[in-house]
Amino acid sequence: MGIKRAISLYSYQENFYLGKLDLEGCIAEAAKTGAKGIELIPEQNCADEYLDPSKEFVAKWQDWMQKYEVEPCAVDIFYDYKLYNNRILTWKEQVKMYTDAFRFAKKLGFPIVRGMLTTPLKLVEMMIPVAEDMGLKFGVEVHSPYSLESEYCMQLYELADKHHTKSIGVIPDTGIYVKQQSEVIVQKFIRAGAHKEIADYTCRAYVDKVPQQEAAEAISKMNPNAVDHALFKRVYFATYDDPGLLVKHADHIIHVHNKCWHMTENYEEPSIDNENVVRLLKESGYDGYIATEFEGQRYFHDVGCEENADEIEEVRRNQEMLKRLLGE
Amino acid sequence: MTNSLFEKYLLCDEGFGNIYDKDHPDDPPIGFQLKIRIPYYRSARLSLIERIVIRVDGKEYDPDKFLFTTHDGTFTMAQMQTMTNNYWLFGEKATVSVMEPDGLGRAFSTAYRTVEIGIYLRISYSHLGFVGIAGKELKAESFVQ
Repeated sequence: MGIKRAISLYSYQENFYLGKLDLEGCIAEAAKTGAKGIELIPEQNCADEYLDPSKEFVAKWQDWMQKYEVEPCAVDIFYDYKLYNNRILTWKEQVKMYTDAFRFAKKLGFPIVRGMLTTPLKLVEMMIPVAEDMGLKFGVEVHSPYSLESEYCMQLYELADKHHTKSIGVIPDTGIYVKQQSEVIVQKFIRAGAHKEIADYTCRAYVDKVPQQEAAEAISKMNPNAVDHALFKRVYFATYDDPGLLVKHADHIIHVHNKCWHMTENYEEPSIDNENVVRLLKESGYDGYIATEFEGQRYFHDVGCEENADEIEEVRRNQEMLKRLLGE
Repeated sequence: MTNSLFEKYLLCDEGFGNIYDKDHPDDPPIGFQLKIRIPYYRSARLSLIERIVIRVDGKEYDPDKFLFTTHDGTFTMAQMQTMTNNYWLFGEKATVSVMEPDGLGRAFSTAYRTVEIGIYLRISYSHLGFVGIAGKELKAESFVQ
């Protein structure tokens, strides 16, 4: 079977936000890369059809899938338990919201629902029978600062094993395999006032695995300002999890996000250990999707920044990288 | 620094200026308006809008006088608190009408003004919420309602 390439339309968010691409336009761009899977955040691209899509929208969606020769791979939902300003949603309301979300996924042909990191395990457990009933898989995304063996994940695996189900699992985001902080992120902090010497030290300290406390003490002697501190926090918030855990917990992996902040002209993302991650996913026998999730655009959103990311080109490059690593 | 997105796009260049009553166009302005986009990577249900802060040339306006217009209609800040099934769409230019008698004032009504906004969204998974803060020099036009 083999791993299939997908694209999360999240990657084209700025184009969509500015009205340069509509939903069909995003799908068309994704299809041009040869990716087969489409990941959708309904509240980003079609909020008025969420949670209850009209027949017309469902028909249009199916037409697009056929026209562009792509297939729905995952839908992203959020844990909005503070809908009201004076209380949190009751469990009953949460289950209803999630059930409606699963139904949305089903109507549009999505086999996988992506839940947010830290979705309460009690809620995940309550959704198992709903997922099984609808033939869907519900995965919780794992991104920094978590590891595939964080307590939350271990409890999730136990839950799946306890219920003898493959309907719940994890969705690793390769942003948990950060070798070094992305340059585009550092540049935004420098524009905001971070000192280059302190930024350089912070980034090198992360790579050299200097313990956080020790590194913090070192920069405190360099006359840091608030932005230097913010960058430090950001850099040390990242993780470089052991990619071997992808093999160890292969049974519980439902889907994968390939995070990228900037792809070089050689189709590499210098921040992320893609080589080992993809190699080990292949070794583990994983045969689901890897979906590009480009997130570099937001690092050009500061007021006064004249530059913009080229989302379409970045996604294309990320897909070229995946083609190479997957041996296509 | 954290949790702010699309900052440079939040305050629209167009749509800013005094509002005149179409039945009494020669009377002083009945308010002023500006257009804003959401500081977040998805559409937000209207009930998630905690607070909007608007300052023009340093003067801050009373949110009780705001009217918020999306593709679904026009609502007060208080009304939106219970609207969980209607969205401020991702990328949508919402119009905030500040119904302050005399608006921005008639003198200098077509000059450039310093406009500052703060948009506070109650996003469950972030205890800071998502906050969009932006400021710009905007040229005022005139609108009739």
